[in-house]
Amino acid sequence: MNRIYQITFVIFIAILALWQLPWGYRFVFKKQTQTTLPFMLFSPVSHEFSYYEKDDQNNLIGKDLAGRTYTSNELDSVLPLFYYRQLADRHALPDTIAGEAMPISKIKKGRFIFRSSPDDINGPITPLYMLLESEPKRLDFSFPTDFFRCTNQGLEFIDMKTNKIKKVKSEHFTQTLKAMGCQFPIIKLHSNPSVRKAYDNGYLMVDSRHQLFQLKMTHGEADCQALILPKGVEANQVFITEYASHKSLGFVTDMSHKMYLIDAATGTTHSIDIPGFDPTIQDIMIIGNPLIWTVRIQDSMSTTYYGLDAHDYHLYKKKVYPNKQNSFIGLHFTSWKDGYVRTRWN
Amino acid sequence: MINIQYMIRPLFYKEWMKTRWFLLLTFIVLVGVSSYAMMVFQHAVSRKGMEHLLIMMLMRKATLVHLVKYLPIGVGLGMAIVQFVPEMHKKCLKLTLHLPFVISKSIGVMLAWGTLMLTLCFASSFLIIFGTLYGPLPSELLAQSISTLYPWYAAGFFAYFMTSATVLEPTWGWRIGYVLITALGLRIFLLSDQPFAYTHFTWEMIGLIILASTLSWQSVHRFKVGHQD
Repeated sequence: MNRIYQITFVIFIAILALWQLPWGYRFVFKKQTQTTLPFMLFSPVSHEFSYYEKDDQNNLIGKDLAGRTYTSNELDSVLPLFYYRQLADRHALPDTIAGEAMPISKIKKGRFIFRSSPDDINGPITPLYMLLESEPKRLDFSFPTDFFRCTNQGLEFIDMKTNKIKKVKSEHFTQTLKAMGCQFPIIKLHSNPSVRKAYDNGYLMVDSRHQLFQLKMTHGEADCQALILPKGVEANQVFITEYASHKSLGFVTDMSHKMYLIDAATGTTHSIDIPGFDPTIQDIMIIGNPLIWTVRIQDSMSTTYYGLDAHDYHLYKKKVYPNKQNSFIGLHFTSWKDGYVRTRWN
Repeated sequence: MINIQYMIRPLFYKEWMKTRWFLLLTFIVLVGVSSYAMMVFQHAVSRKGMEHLLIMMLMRKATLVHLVKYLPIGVGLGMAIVQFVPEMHKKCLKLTLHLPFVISKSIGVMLAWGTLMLTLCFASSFLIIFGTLYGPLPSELLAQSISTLYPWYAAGFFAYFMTSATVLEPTWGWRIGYVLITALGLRIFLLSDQPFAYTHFTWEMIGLIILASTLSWQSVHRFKVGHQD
């Protein structure tokens, strides 16, 4: 019997050692598993990735991947759509950039930042959703007085005050989606439930056949449209966008991790010229302006930068930085890829 | 040897005599803090309205039960001290070793008493929270609050078994080892406050508690064979 107790003690020690020793080793010896990369943007002027770096005297100097160096003022001119306020302050903002007229209003309208992390996708969620009134009577948006949940039969709206199901509203929204060809259950959906925004695009939803729909509430009524995917493409993950340009409804990835932009005017999708983006394991940041998108995709293996044309999303250039691999395998309970506590070896 | 079934009642009575005041205090504190947390919820509803509160719960992943977080650990720790420190201090364990029944079984009965009392205390706290939130919250938001609560109760059981093993342990070397295991083990139960974070870790938590529960027997075995600092 004593042997059994000794074995349990050894198991305990083994679990804690496998958990704490790799962590302690990394903590003490500061072994970084990921290279620190500069904040790089693709220039519409030089068509090269450009960035700031500190020199030996701690001064900021501009650089690009072609090996050129710039002063701060020069780098502002190399990245005029990112540092446009700095240029405008010095009255150095050009009228045209890359042959295109570029007033400040156009720059402001065309700028956006899109981010997604695996934690957003894989993390635990409470499956209740708020649908805002897209055309409120007053200027500002306000939070609704009900949530909805997705069931196998449709949408179910619940009154917040009474915790009772709103049968009429639930039926109305379910039937409207069904009329557009939606087949329940909804498997993925995304919205921006903030009231501090200029306009509302409602929800992007993926149904059980991986088809794509947009749902809004306009004057209390369901406002739904089926979005057109290229033939054979099955939607997987969706991301709503509500940018000042009003050009896009959002982004969608398909089952083979190809990424598309959804055009707000036509409801069609445009392929983005990057090899793939898997939101469940990769982190993405897109810094967009009217001429260029700089896309950064990170995962455990590498960090890749893409410079894309903002009109047709074709690729100008890409740069891959492999990450240093962690050779010290250990037991972990948490991960940056999801918010769950679970046993994992990596 | 006397059959253990005849000894359960006297042993439970002994444990009751040792722990009754602590249990009363624990019950008052647990019920009081749980009730206070729910009064805060009801006060917020009356001031800001149910809609506002539910939106905050959904958007900020608020759970309304954070006040309870460290209480189960404190209760587990206290229970083990109240139960086993007198045994060691007054040399009662030595006397128990000379009683005409198996020592491992009497330790089992003592731990069973502690486990049962902790279960009752935690259940009373849980029922107050569940009873208050069950009506007004949709099932998803109720689950959000409850899902953060149960790892804390599990941590309470873990703290109880580990502290019991530490107190019963006759040698300082092993005691220090147990304290280290307790600290690191408790860290596992408190890694995340996010709702549903421990959904995929329930069996592992149960496993850790079962492992911890066996260590007390090991301590008593060492005591029995004469290890002592």
